Amino acid sequence: MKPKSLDEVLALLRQPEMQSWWAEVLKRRAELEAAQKQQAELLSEASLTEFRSELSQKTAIDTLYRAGELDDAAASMLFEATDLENRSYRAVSDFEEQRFKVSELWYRLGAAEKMLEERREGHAQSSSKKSESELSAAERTHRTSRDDYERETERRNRLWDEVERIWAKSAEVNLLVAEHRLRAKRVRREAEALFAEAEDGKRRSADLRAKADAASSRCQAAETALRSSLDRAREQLGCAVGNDFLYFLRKDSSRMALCVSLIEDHENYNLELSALGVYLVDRQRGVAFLEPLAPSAASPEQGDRRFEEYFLRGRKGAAASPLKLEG
Amino acid sequence: MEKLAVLAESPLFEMLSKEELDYASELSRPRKFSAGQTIFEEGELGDSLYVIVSGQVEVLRRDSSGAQRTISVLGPPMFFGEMSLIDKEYRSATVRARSDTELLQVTAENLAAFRKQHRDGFTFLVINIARVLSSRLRESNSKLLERR
Repeated sequence: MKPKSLDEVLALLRQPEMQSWWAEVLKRRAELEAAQKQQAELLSEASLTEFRSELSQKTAIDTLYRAGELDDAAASMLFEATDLENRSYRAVSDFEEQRFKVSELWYRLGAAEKMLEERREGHAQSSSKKSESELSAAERTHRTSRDDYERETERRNRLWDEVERIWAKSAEVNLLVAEHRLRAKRVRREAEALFAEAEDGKRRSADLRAKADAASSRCQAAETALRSSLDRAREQLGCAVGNDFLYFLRKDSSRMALCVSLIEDHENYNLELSALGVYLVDRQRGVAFLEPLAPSAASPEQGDRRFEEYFLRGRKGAAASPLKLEG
Repeated sequence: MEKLAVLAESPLFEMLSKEELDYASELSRPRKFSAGQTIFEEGELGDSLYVIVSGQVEVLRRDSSGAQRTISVLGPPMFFGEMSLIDKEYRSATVRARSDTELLQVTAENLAAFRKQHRDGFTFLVINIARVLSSRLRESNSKLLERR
């Protein structure tokens, strides 16, 4: 790298070859940025699709488990329905037995009523101690028969209520068994759809990964092309080449170098960089501290005049220039 | 933000030539602060001064009880933060944006670069800082006398 004067560097920057080189660098950079952006988007989409696919798979497993639970519930209800049916047979049998018993008691009650009427008539016709005692016995028998009849009738009714309750419960359970079975079927279908979705996600993700790999190759190609454009500057302009700067050793200074910014950056350097701007840098510190190029400095005479104006004129009350201060 | 116009208005850059102002403008970096945001804290190390472009800042100091008190409010085209730059001591006060504020930051390194290129301009810059400090000292002396 041969040292150059500032004028030589400025002249180099004005050359048409430099202009076309710069246009090429900008084009290569744009290509690289587009490829990097596309690769990042594809990778992000692939990761998202993978994540969704995994989530679908997990949900599918959970859903399938839920379908199993519904099947189990249906089976358990079917068992309960069978048990209820068996219980209903026993209850109907108990009821029939009780109905027969109540009929018998009803006949007995009828006989006791008839006997009581006969005894009352007998006692009314010829009242005697014997007839009175027979009437009392008939009354007791009738009362006992009536109590027995009423008690057993009540029990018969209770048995019938139980039969009806068991039938109602059995009907309800049977209805729910069907519903549970259908729900289990529906949930199983949902699980199958989710498994299919997960598989589809895996396929799409693999496809996106393949596209991202291709984009990565394009990135590498664009990087190589940009690097080769930058390297060309080394040969054509005789400078050191970084990613963001070209460096020229300065002819008239062993300590300072000139650098040309290849980027526009208002945030990350000690001053606001403009693309193709020329700056001074210390050879040791490099772009850690950039200095703008100095425009032609004021002549010593001009400087003297300003100092005279400030220090020697306008004293005692009249300031050389108004200086406003707050607070 | 037209940096050059802002610097030309600031008392810090009074008496500087067009070339010197151009150079100083290139060396300064724009900074933005939201209302309430602290620009620097009392006791911090500092190597920059700031020129106010727009908005207002308040200068705060802790009193003997530890409570923060506003000692001054500054607006464009004033500057602040020059004391630590000169005496290399810790910041003597906290400065906080009172409203959304735009500033131009000039670091010690930037001033050194300025001095290399524009020695006379640098001298005037230091004179301007001295004028502000001198003015503040006079003001403080007057206040002290009033209290006695």
